[in-house]
Amino acid sequence: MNDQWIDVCAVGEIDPEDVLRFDHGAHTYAVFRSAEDEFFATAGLCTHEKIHLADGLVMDHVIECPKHNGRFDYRSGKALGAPVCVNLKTYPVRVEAGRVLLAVTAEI
Amino acid sequence: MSQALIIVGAGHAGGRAALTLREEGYTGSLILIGDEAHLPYERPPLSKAVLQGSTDLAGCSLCDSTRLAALGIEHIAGNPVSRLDPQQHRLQLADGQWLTYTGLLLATGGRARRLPEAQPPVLYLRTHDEALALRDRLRPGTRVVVVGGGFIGLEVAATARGLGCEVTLLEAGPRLASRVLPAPISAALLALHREQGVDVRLNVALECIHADAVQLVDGQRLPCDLVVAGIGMQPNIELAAAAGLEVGQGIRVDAQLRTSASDIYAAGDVCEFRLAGVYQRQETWRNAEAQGRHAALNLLGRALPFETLPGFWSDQYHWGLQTVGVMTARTVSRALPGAGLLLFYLDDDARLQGACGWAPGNGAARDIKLCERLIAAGTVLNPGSLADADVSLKLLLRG
Repeated sequence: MNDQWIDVCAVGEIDPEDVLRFDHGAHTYAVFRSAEDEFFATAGLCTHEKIHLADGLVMDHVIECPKHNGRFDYRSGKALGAPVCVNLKTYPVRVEAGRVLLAVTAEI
Repeated sequence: MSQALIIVGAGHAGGRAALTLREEGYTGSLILIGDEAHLPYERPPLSKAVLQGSTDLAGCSLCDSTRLAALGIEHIAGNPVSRLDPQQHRLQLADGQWLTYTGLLLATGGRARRLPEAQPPVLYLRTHDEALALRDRLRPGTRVVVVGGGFIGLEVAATARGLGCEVTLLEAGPRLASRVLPAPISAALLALHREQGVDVRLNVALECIHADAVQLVDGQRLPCDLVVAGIGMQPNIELAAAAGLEVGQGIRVDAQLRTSASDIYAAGDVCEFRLAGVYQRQETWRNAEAQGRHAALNLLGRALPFETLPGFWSDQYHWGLQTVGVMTARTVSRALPGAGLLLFYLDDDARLQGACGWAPGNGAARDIKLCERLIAAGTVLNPGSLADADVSLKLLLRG
């Protein structure tokens, strides 16, 4: 198992307090930029009914699923109450030379 | 007597109430009684993913049997409640057994309204089993006539087209989903369905249904293999009515979702509550979720008024519709990306009361969520800013 860093986008492609959908291979991720300019990444689909979270609303550090209002703290992936009860998987993110990089675990 | 809470109706509202009671620390006896053989499930996927065959019952269930057992929720299926006795705080099951409660929730939902004369080729869609029966009949080339241009009819039409069926949709009124949608969105839905090859006919009346065709009052005969009727829901109020509880078009409740019997609450599709002073029911996922949870809290003595805004969504083809709040006569519209549309409903003081968004995919979701917050904030808004797609609603919210 190795962490593999993947290029997501330029820093400016995600607004502060917003989210971007990022598809890579068979996986989909949600990449967040906080109002404080920190970057985070979680699994891209809501744990409730597999809806793309990136269509949802980011307020402060919470992403709200577009359909069922399931809410998660995107920094920890923690589910914040019904209808969602399963946490989101999170992934390391770093910024390098103006690019956002995401670490996915290579499944060998 | 030790505490015993009973929930009649194991659909979304009833199931959510049961789970909430445990999450909130209730440790007494908890019984969930349902007509259907299944664990509580959410209904929106029935007309879409379940009909397409891309998800199954487990994919829409609120929880699995392991979790239900672990939570100590006793699920009674296939032994429905036949009688309710509010004076004695007890109810009787079909097998004759009496159960006594200290608190009761009626979440009995409804059933698909039937066409006046029971016709053998007509299918309906309300339950999971009805969805499976319909799914088995939708094959490429099947000629389907959908009766009713409301959401069930429209979603069935969209899914059937996706499966390669030939679809004709009949609506008695002058536009689609007219009870709950504004005219511009009805028009957009009509255009989309026609573009996708559905033969939509407005202002038509059904004369009769034959084994191989539908006959219209104007004399037209529409040959078909299958008829699906989506003509509304009949609330299951009979148990409550026979027990002497106050009913209207649903089981009537006060602001706390309490019925005319002080230890009995109602929630979900069957619950008739006052919204802006008028008794009405909300047949939506959002209402089942919110009221199920809310009734559970009040069964535990919280005495909270129910104040959740109404709202719903619908997915058809690659388009999504989402609403929140209520419609008013004062409308402002803004364009959404991808030829979408967002309608704002204001009161006389230019405070937001409701919104309706129509966009590709879930493209309206974010703005609708912001509208919900704008409604709650009660901010006086500038109609010009609302109409301007370049003005972020988040910015308006934060003033």
